[in-house]
Amino acid sequence: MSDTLPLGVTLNGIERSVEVDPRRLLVEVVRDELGQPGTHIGCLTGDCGACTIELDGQIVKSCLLLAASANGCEITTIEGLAENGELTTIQQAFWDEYGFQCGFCLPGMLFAAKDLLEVNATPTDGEIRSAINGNLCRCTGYDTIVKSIAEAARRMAAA
Amino acid sequence: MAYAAVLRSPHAHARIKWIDTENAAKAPGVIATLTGEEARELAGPIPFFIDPAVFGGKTTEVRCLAVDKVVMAGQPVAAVVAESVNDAEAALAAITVDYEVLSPVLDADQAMSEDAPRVYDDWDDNVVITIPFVEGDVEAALDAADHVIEDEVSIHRLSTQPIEPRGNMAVWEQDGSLTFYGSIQNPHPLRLHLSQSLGIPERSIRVIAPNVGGGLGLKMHGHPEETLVCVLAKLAGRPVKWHEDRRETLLIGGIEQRHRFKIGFMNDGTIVALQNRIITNIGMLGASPGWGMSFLSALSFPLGYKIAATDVQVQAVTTNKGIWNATRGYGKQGTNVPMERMVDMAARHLGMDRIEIRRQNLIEAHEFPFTTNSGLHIDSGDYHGALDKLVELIDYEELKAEQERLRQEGRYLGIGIAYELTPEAADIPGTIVGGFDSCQVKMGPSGNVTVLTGVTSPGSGNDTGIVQIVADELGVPIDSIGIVQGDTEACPYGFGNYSGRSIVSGGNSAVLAARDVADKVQAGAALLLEAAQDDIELANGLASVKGAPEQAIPIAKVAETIYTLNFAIPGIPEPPLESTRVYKPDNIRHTPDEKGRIQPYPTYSFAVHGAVVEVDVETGRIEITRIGIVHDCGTMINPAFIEGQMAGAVVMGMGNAWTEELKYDEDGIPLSTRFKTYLMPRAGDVPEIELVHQVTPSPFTLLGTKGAGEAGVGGGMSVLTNAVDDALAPLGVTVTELPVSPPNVLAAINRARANGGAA
Amino acid sequence: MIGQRFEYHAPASVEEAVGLLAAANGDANVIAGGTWVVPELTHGIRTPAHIIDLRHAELSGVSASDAGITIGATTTYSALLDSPLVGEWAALLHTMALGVTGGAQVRNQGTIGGSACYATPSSDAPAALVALDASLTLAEAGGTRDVRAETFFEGAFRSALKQGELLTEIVVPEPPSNVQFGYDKLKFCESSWPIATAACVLGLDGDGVVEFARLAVGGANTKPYVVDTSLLVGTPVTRDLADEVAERAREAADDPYTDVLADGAYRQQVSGVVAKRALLDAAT
Repeated sequence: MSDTLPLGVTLNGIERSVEVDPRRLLVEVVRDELGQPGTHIGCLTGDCGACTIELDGQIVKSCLLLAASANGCEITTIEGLAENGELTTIQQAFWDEYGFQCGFCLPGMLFAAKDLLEVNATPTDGEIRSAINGNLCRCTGYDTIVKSIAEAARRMAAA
Repeated sequence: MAYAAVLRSPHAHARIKWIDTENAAKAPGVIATLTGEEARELAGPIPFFIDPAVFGGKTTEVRCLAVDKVVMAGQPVAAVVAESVNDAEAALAAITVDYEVLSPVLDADQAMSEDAPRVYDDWDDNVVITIPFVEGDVEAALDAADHVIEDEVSIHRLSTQPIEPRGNMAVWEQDGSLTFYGSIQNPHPLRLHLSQSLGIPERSIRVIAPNVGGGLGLKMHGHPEETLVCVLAKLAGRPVKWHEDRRETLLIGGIEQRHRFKIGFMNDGTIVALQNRIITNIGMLGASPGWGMSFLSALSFPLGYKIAATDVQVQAVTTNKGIWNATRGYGKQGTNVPMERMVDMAARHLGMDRIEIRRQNLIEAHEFPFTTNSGLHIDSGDYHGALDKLVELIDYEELKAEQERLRQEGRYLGIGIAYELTPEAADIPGTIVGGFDSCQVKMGPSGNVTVLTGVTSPGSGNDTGIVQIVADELGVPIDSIGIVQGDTEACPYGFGNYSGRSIVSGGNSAVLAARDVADKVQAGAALLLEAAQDDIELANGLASVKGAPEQAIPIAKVAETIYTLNFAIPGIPEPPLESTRVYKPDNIRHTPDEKGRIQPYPTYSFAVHGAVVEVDVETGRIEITRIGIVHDCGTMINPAFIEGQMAGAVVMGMGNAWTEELKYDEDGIPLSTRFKTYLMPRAGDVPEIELVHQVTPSPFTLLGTKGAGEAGVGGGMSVLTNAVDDALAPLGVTVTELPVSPPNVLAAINRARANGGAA
Repeated sequence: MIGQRFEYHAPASVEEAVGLLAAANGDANVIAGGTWVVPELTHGIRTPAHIIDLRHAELSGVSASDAGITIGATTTYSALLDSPLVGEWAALLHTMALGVTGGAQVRNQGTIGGSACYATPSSDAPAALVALDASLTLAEAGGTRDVRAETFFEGAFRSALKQGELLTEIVVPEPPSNVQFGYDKLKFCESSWPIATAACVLGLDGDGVVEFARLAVGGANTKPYVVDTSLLVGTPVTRDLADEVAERAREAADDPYTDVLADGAYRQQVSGVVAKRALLDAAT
């Protein structure tokens, strides 16, 4: 058997192909082989959510996937959110509302927030909390994250 | 780059008979292997962050890989470096270790018995240290008390678990110098300790702590993997990186302790006597500073309560459980939780309101500074003012009425009240735990400013806070200031991040350094504006004459002039516009007083907490419905950051008390190995936090700041525990055992019902 | 990080998948969403020679048939939530899927078939499948067989799935029109796996009198079990009857599951509580 497999993905809008060891997790390949270290490794058991990315339009925890499983998929990582250096409305709201401290959980939180606001433009605080239950933060106590997402929703509604 | 993986002991207590790494060395991708015997030839012992021997306790030699014997499950015994993490991981399976398994001792009480297995063969018992704090005649005071409650409170083993695990990388240069990158809290002290364990000069080592994904005490050093990665990089002949797996992070615990106490009080609620015997289960004695939390759990009694006679003794006991490291709160939660339980127990015994009993016993605002029984010199406070604000914030009287109504419906609402004292910014004599810190402020010819500090930020925002402070002192815009932290080559000597010290020590040293630079700028501006230096104000990027704002010059112009026209303009201040200063807070006293007590904490932030919970008495499940806090950390530099610190700390404290527990099986094997078995709070577990600030500046620090970041952990733990206790009072339950997890709560209800509880 | 080397296969059909399984001779792990198996590969708990990834095996989707609703084994929880068929005919599965721990990510990744095959007591799906009297289709190189959910789960992490067999679909019989569902789940906090779950299917006449009842409890025993609800038939559900059912649920928890979060005694005690609550939920 070959030691590596070809992996072709569209990463943040750009087609990429790399050879990967079948043992590699998607999160490892995203960070190392594909050079996008904004996706973080916090637990490798799918519990903390720091490795959240978008795979074919759905948010997933990339530590729960073998990289080989993502062959042919479209991937968006945190590096693919801001365009031309301009933060997205959600990112800006997190910045303004102090929605992070150490920032390690932040990429996952942003994807969870984006996923929520795409289907629910006017979430209640309870719905926001529920939407980020798959993501752990150990710094903020979640208050400012909830406020950031609520603020992002307000700004998106006003835009 | 090469990657390291660590083989860990599957046994809690065993002798290593032999290790065979031959097959691993031949495995695909493997560059080097290392055993404890081999490592001993390449590196010395790991220096203690805080050596118990300094305080008269026992000590041991800590190695990066175990030699002869392992004393905890998960202790490193061998390591591999390979081309990929996958190959390194695969090669671990090819290492054979022959162990002679020994009986582990896991319980601290058992570890203290005569016939208990010895964790360290050459110790005559398993007690690391015994520390007493005695003031007054407790036996007499207990005899004279109207009431005495004798009970126990136990706190389980928990951990802080930042979401980023640890990670280290070592790079050796051809000239024999070493650059160490790590997710660590204390770069300069680590440099010293690496130089000692590696046997190379301190000047040959550069330690860099890049942005850290949360520290929370767990990233204070003394861990085996710091020295280990350096040794492996030397062996491999190239840079080596080690990234911690969460299972490894979860080996590191803290706090586990039992308090056996008697508390004496009078009919009017005055607490007159406290006797407390504390036993901490520190697991394996490691070089990281965790074990020292035992000391704090005793020293901090009786918080801000005025109790005439106290006799508190802590014994730190080693067992075959995992190593401790610092957990945010550094042992002070080990005082807060039992003390707040005791006060509630006394109140319930007397039928007294829990706010009232605290008013009755806490130090009053006019009594500060106040020396506690253990010799702590509490700088300032207004505890009664904070209690008043809490009563208003949570509408305490209405809550009590609602609780009564719900009890009629068979619902169990609990109102928790807790006071919290957080000694901050420690300096422990004879150790690398320093209470001062340093800052360099440099203004260049463009007027841009670089700030270099000895404190580091784990994401708490102290970097921004320090920049704000410098901006205020220099009168320049924030975006003209850059800050550098966590690089031993660039930054002045400092101790990094712990003990809520970053603004107290780091911020105030920035004030001093910035004032030096501001002096020169003012002198230059005075010359250029033909005004008196005392009349020059610095604000909004301008140096202007007091009362004559039209007489102004940009600060950048002053800087440029000082650097470029220094020979041309006689009397203009000499460049550079730079200053490095240290700030040593007042109120630290290391000379023992007549009772032998020292005063290692300059300042004491405090808070009072209120929480509302509803307990499902059929399952023991808790719902937290309100959290109200009145917080006082003296002068605030950035209230938003302080609120963030408090919110995070309280939620962490609640998780610590509720569902977080590091469990072991009967052989000492860790069972809490992921975030599905070590349950930390998520957004849906907690309500929005209601926070009110009170500002009682410290008279002993330059800006009156008291430190934030640790406060909230002990308070969160205490208030949740007290709320559960209050909820279950009608059933005759008294909560004495943490965590208040659903199985523990249901068991307490079952016991109370079996005993014919008040229900 | 995964150390052990393995051969990766991504079959495009069931036939191909069962062929690969047969060829692997027991030394293979199947992954669907990967939420259970991949972390165990990462931590060296599983070290198979072959990984058979069903991502491209066309096993995802919900469809209606004469037998009821057919759910492909790799249908994710979010696909269940998005399915109008599930919402209409098997609302219990909708409720169950909503409560899956791990956030939207895990609902996008976890599959109902994967959860069934893993057979952990700490899972949302098993009790619901048992309450619905679902049937699981197991394929192997030689053919297929159907197993009722109640017999599929054999114990903690043990199922009727034999070496070489692959779960392909789950069939939920179409319920009568007068059915009402109830669901209750106990978990300690948002981080926690389910400790005990109960799912109830109740047929009521126009006066609220029970015509049939099926109540299953998960997580309490090492496998999900059906509670004797015969006493409910022919009467409306009352608090007293619900207490009686709770007692029966507790008595039936005679092989309680113990893990690091909760011991058997605790699970036994709360089994009756979740059973009662699911029943009352269904009745209202």
